[in-house]
Amino acid sequence: QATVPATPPGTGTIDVGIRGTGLSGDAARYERYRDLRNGPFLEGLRWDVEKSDWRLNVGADHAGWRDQRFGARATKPGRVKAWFLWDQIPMLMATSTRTLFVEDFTTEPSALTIDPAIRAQIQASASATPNVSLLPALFGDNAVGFDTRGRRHIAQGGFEYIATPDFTLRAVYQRTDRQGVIPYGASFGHSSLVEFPAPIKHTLNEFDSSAEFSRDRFLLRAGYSGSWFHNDNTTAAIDNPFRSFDALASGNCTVAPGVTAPCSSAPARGQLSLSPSSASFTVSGLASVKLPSRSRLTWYVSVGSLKDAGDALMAQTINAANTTLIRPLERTHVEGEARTFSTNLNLVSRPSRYVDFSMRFRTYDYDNRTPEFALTQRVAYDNAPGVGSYSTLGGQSLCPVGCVITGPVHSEPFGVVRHTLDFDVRVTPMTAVAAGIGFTRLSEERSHRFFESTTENLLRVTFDSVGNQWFSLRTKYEHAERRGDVTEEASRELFNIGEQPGIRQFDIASRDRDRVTILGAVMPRADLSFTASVAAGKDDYTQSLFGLRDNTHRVYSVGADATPSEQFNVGLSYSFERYKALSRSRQASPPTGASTISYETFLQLSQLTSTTVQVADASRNWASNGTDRVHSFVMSAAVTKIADKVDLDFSYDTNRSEGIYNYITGPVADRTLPDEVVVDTTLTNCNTPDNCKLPPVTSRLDRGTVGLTYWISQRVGVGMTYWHERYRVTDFTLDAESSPVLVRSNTSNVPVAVLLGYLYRPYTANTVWGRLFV
Amino acid sequence: PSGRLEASPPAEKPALTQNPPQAAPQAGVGYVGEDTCATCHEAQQQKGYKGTPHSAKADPRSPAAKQSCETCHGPGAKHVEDPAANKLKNLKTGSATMINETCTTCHNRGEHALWDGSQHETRNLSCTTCHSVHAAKSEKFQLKEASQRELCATCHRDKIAKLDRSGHMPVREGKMTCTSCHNVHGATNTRLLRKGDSVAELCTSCHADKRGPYLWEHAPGRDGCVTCHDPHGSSNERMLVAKPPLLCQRCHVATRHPSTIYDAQAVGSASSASIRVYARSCVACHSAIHGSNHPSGQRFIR
Repeated sequence: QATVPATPPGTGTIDVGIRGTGLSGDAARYERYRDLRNGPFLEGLRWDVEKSDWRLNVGADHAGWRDQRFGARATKPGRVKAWFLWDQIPMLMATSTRTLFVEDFTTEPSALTIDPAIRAQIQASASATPNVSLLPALFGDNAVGFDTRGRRHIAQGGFEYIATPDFTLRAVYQRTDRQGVIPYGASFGHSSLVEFPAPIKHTLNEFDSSAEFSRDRFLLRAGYSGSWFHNDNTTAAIDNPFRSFDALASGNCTVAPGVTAPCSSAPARGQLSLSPSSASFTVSGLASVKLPSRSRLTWYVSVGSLKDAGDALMAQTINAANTTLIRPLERTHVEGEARTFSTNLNLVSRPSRYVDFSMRFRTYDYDNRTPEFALTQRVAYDNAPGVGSYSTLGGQSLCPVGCVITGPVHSEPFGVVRHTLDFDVRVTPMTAVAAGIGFTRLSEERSHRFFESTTENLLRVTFDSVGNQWFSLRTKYEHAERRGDVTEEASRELFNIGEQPGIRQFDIASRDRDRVTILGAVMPRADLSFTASVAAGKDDYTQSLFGLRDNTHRVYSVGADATPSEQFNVGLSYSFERYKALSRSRQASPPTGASTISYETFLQLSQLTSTTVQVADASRNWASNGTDRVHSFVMSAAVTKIADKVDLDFSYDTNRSEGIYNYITGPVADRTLPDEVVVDTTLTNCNTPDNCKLPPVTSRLDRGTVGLTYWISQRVGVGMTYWHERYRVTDFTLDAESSPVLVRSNTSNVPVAVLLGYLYRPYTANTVWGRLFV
Repeated sequence: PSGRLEASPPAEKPALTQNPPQAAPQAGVGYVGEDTCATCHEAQQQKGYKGTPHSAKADPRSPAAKQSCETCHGPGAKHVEDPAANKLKNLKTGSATMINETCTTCHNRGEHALWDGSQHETRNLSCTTCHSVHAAKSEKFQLKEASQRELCATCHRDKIAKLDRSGHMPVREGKMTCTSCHNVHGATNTRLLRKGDSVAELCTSCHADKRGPYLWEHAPGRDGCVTCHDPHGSSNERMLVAKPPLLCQRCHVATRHPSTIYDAQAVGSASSASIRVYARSCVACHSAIHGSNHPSGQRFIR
C-alpha cells in the first residue's frame, strides 16, 4: 500500500484518479461486493478538524459508486463521541441471467408471471396437453436478460456520552435497507423445476443501547437492544412455465375419510412462502467485581423475545381447481414466538504469579413458543391435497380413493437449552512459559430432534512459550466425547418417516473429537521472523451407521517476514489445507403394498443379509468420500522512499482448491462399526470406477497488484496501481459446461427445469488506476 | 487502495494539535514527566503517542491526563539516574499478565470489559500481541499489521485463507472485518461472537430474513448455522461446508431420492444428468430450507 504521509493539523488526505478495466469472462464475479466500473473515482478522503475541545473526522470512500461509504465522527475527549456512517454494499451475482418471468412485486402476493402469449403456445386450452418441448425455443426467443444483483444500504448513527468518569451511556441506531433479487427455486413436481429471481426488499432497524457504571472494583452494565425486520414480500406467486392451465386429475381425491371429489393434479401457478417479518428484543445486565488475589467475578444475564409480525397463514394453494377441497386450517396465523434466556458466570483468579485459573458457567435457552401446527392435508407443489404425512414410506402426496388418512402431522417447533461449564488452570513457572489444562462440559437438551439430550466432555491441554524475543510457541490439544442416546421410540419414528433408524445427524450425533494445533515463530533478528503452524483433527461419529461417519482436517502453513530497513519489507506465506469426510447411506425405495414391513421386521431383516426389502438390504449401502485440498500462497513486498521520492509495493496471492468426491459401494475399509452388517454391493449405480468418481471441483484465484507512487512534494504524490485477477473454475453443478440454462431430462428429451443461468464462470481482469494523493 | 473506513465507528484519526505543556513532574513519587522521557525517547513520543487518544489530555482517563509515558511504563526517576540498571516496564517483551494488567488499568470497560478469562487471554496473549502503541501499522486501533486480515492471519491462517474462496463474505472487499462478527477482547457469546447469545443469533443479526420464527423449522439451522455454512468462506456456493446433494445426504438417508447415488452419470451436460445435482441441487426444490410459513411447508418446498 502507498504510504500516506502524516497528517498535519487541520488537513486531510485525498486519493483521486481514474480507473479502467479490461475484462474477459464473468464481470459479476470479479466485482461481486464492489463497484469497479470504469471512470474517475474518489478512492478515499479523510478530513480532520479540531476546534476548541472538539475533533471532527470525516471520511469518504468510493464516493459516487455503488460501494461508497461516508463517515463522520465528532469527539470531545473524555466526554462525547458521536458518529454517523453510510455504507453501501453491492452484491452482483450475475450479468448473464435470463428469465421468462415478469415481476410485479406491488401485489400481495408478489407475482412473477409469464406473458400469456408465451403460455398459450405451451398450452392453448385446459384440455390440451402441454407442449413443453417448445420451452427451449420460447425461452431462447423471449427470455429477458437481467442482472442478478442485490445491495445493502446501511445507515448508522451512534454516540457515547461519558456523563462522569464513572458513567458512560452508549446508543447506536442502524438501518439496513436491502433490495434486489436472488436466485430462488420453485418446484411444480419432480420434473418441473423452476428458478426465478426472488424479490428482496428488506428493512432491518436495530437499536442498541447500554449504560455502564464503573468505579473502584465494580462494573455494572445494563443494555437494551431491539431489532425489527420487515420483508415487503413474504409470499410469491409464480406461473408454471410447464403448463398454463390447472390439470384435472383422472380420478377423484379424498377430501375426508369416505368423501371424494374431483381434483387437479398439476397447477398453472404456485405460491411460496418467503422470509417472514419479525421483531426481537433483548434486555441484558452485566456485573463485574474485582476480588482479592487478583480475581474477578463477572455475571451476565440476558432475556430476549423473538416474534413474527402477526402474519396470517397463507392459503394452502392457489390452484383454483383444488381450493374447494381444502379443509380449514387449524389456525389462521403463524403465531411464531420464541423467548431466550442466557446467563454467564465467569470467575478468573490469579492468586500467585505462578498459577491462575478461570471458570465459566454458561446457560442458553431458546424456548420456542410457536404452537404446534396440526397438518391434516398436505398440498405439495400446489397439486391436489393429500394426506398430511411425514412419510415417504407409505405416504402419498395425492391421496386416491381408498387411501388411508393418517394425519394430522404436527409441526416441530425446535427449542434448545445449553449448559456449558468451562474450567481452566494455567501454570506459569517462568515468565515465558505457560502450561494449562482445561475441561468443558456441554449439556444440551433439545425438543423435536432425535437426540433430545447430549453431553459433551472436552479436555484440553495447552503449552505456550511467549514473551521472549527469539521465539514463540503455542500448542493446544483437545479431546472431546459427545454422547447421546436415541430411544427405541425415536428409532421407530425414524423408520416410520422413511429414514434409516441408523442415521445420526452429525451436528448432534455421538462423536469423538481430537484436535491439535501448534503455532511456532522464530525471530533470529528483530527484523526477521519465520512462522510455521500445524493444525490437525478428526471427528469420529462413533454410532452413526448412516450419515456423516467421520471427517478430518490437516492445515500446514509456513511464512517469513523481513524488514531489513525502514524502507523495505517483504513477506511470504504458504498454507496447505486438507479436509476429508466420509458419509454413509443406503439407496432404497420405500416398500409398498405387500412389501410393507413393520419396524420389528426391519430390525430382523437388517441382521440378515436379506435383499427382499431394499430399506433393510445392507448390500445397497454406499459411501461418499470427499476430499478438499487447498493451496494458498501470499507474497508481498514494499519499498518506500526510493531516492526519497518513490514508493513501490507489490503483492501476489493465489488460492487453489480442489474438491474430490468419490463413491464407495459395499464395505468401506477400516470403517466398519460393530452394529454394521457387511456385505458386497448389489447396487448397479457406480458401475465402473470412472462413474464412481465425480468430476473434480476446482477453483483457482490468482491476484497480483503493483503500486507505484511518486511524491512530487512531501504532501503531493502521483501514482499508478495495477491489479490483475484471474479466476478459473470447474464445477459439475454450476459451471457453464455442466449447467445449461434449460436442462433436459435424461430420457425423453423433455425439459424438466427452467433455470436462470446463474453459473460459476471464469474471468481474467486487468485494472489500472491513475492516482493523485494529496 | 488505501485504508478503508471501518464499519463502526468511523476512523480514529490523529489529534490535530500539539498537547498542552506537560504538568511538572510530581515530587516524591519517582515520576519525571514526559519531557524528560523525550530527551532519549523522542521517536517513541512522536510515533504512536502524540496525536493519539493516549495523548488527549482533556480525557481524564488518558495517560496524558495522568503520568504520560510513566502511566504505562512506570515511574522513571531511577531509570533516569541509571537506565541500564533500572529498566522500565517493557510492554513488548514482558509477561502477558503484566502487559494485560497494565493496559486493562484503563481499558477495562466497553469492548474490553470481558478480557479477563476470554479465549485470547487464557491462551497467554497480551494486548501487545496484536497492538503496538509505538510501531502500529494500521490506520486504526494501533494494530501491529496494516489490516485486521493480516493481523488475524498471524495465528488464524486457515480462516483467513478461506476468505479467498469462491463463496465468501465481503471481507476481502473491505466491507467487513474480522471484528464485524468477533469481539476479540472477550464476549458473552461463544467463539468470541460480538452479538447475540448463540451462533444463530449472531448470524441472524444481519441475516434477519433467516431468523423466523417459522411454522416449519429446519432444526439444524436454528441449532447453529455453521452446521451447513462456513462463515469464513468455502469453495461451494453459499459458503456451504460441502457440495449438495452430498451435504444434505450427510443427514438425510430417507428412501427415494435422498438416498440415491448421484454418480458421474448424473452430472455434467450428458443426457443422463439429474436435476437433483445441478445448480441449487436439493434447495432448488426445497428452497425454503431455513424454514417455511406455508401450511404445507413441512418439507420446505413451499
